[in-house]
Amino acid sequence: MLPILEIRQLAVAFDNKKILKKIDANFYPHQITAIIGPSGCGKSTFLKSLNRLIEDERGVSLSGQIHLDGEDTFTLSPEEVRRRIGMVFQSPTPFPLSIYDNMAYPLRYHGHGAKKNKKSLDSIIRNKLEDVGLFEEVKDNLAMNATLLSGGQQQRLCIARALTVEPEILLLDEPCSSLDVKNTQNIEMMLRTLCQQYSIIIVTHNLFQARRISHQTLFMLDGEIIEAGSTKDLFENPRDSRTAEYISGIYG
Amino acid sequence: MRNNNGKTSHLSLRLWLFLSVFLVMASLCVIFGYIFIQGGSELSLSFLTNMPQGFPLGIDGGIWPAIVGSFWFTTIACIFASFLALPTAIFLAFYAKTTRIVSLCHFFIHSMAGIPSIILGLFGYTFFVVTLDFGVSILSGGLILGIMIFPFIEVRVEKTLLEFPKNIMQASISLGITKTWTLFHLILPGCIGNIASAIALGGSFAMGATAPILFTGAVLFAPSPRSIFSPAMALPNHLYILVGQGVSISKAYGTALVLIILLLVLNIVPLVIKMYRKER
Repeated sequence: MLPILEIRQLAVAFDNKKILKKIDANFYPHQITAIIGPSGCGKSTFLKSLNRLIEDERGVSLSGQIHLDGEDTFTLSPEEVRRRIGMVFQSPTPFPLSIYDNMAYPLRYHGHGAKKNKKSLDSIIRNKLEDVGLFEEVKDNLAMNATLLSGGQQQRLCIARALTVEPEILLLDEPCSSLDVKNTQNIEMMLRTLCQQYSIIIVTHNLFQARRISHQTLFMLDGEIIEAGSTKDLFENPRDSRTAEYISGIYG
Repeated sequence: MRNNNGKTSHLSLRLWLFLSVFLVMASLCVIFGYIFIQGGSELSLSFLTNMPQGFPLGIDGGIWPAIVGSFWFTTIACIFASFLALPTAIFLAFYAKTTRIVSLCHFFIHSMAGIPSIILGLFGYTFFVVTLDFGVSILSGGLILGIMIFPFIEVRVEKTLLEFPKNIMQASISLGITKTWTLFHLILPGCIGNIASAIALGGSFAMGATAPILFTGAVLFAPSPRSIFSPAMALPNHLYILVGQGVSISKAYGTALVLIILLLVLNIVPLVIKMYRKER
C-alpha cells in the first residue's frame, strides 16, 4: 500500500529549541493512525506541521519534506494543503455563528456561495451533518447559535465542518479530551466509519482509545518517533523498551 | 492573635474597596446632579437652536453653532483616527512577524498617548493650519483631535482583536481559508461591537477636548459651518470663553449640560449596538 502522506527528515524548532528532530513517518490511506506519547513530546507540533498550520506561529523554523499523494506540500500553497488536510482541535471550536453558517462558512470561501447554489450548499451541509450523526439532532435548529450546542455536539459539528471541504486526510488533536464517555464513544464509532472515506490521524493521550480505534500507532518521545507499526504489534510486541515502558503506564 | 490580625486586615480591605467604589459613584452623581441643577434652567429649545447673541457675545441666545461644530470636529476625528487605528491594530494583532516590531510600535503608540494636548494643538497649528494651508478649520481641528484619540482607539481595538479566541481563528485557517478572509468574515464581525464602542469612547474624548482645537479650528463665533474648510464653534471652547471672559455663568452651565448629555449619548451608542447584536 502506498502512503498518502510521507514525512522525510521533518525538523521543527521554536526560537532554536528543537521540538521535532528529523522525523520520518508514513501514513496510509483509509487507515486510522494514532499518535501517542507523553505530554510535551511534540505530538501536537507534529500534527500542526502536517497541514502547515505551524508556520503561522512566531519564531518557528522548519525543514524537511512532506509529500501528500506524492506532491511536495511545500510547493503547494498553504491554503491548498490545509483544504486537503483538515484539522479538528482539542477543545471544540464552533464559530460564533449559527449551525448552518458554521457549515456554510468554508463552502462559501471555496466557491459554493453563489445564490443559485443554495440547493447544493444545503445538501452538502445535510450530508456532512449526517456523516457525523448530528443532522437528526439539529435539523430543526439550524439557525441556532452553534455555541449553544453541548460539548460533544460542538465537536461533531467541527468534524462535519472540516469535512465540508472534502479533505483527503483528517487530523484530530485529542478530540475527546474534553468529552464524557458517551460522547467519546460516539466520536470513536464515527471515526471508524469515516476512515472508509478519509485517512485519519489522531493524537491521543488515551492508550485505550488508540488501541480501540487505530490501525496504525506511532509512539513519540522527546521529538522523535520511537516506534511505528500496526497497533496490534506495537501494543502486544513493542520492539523498543521505551515503548514497552510507556504502554505499561510508566510515563504519565 | 494572628488569626485576629488577618480578620482585621480583611475587614479594612473590604471597607477600603467599598468606600472607593462608593466615592467614585457618589462623585459622578454629584458632578452630574450639580450640572443638571445649575444648567437645567437654561436648557430650552431656543437655547439649543439659536445663535449666541448679545454683548459680550454669548450672554444671550443659544449654542446651536457650537453643537454643530462639535459634531463635525468629533466626526472627522473619529473617521481619521479609525482610519489609522484599525489597520494598525490589525497589523499588530495578526500580521506582525516578530515581537520586536510589536514592542517598538507599542512604544510609539504609548508615547503618542502621553503627548500633552496643548502641544498637539501647537503642532496642528504649524503643520495643518500653516504648512498644509488648511487654515483654521474643522478639518485642521478634526485631524489633530484624530491624532489625539488614535492611541486611545488603537489600544482598545488591538485588545479586542487579541481577545478573539486564537483556536477559533486557527480552525478557520485550517479549513484552507486565508487569514485575510478569516479577518473580514469571522473576526471583525465578531468584534464589531467592541470596535464601535472604542471609537465612540474615543469620540467622546475628542468632543470634550479644547486644547487641540484652540489654535486650529475653534473660534469665538461662527455661524453653523458650511464646509470642513471653515472654522467653527465648539462646545468646550465656548464653555471656556463663557467662563474665562466672565460672560455668563448660567449660560456656561447650560453649555456644560448639553456637552455632558452628548457625551452620555455617545457612550450609550455602543451599548445599544451590543444589545442589538446579542438579540440577533
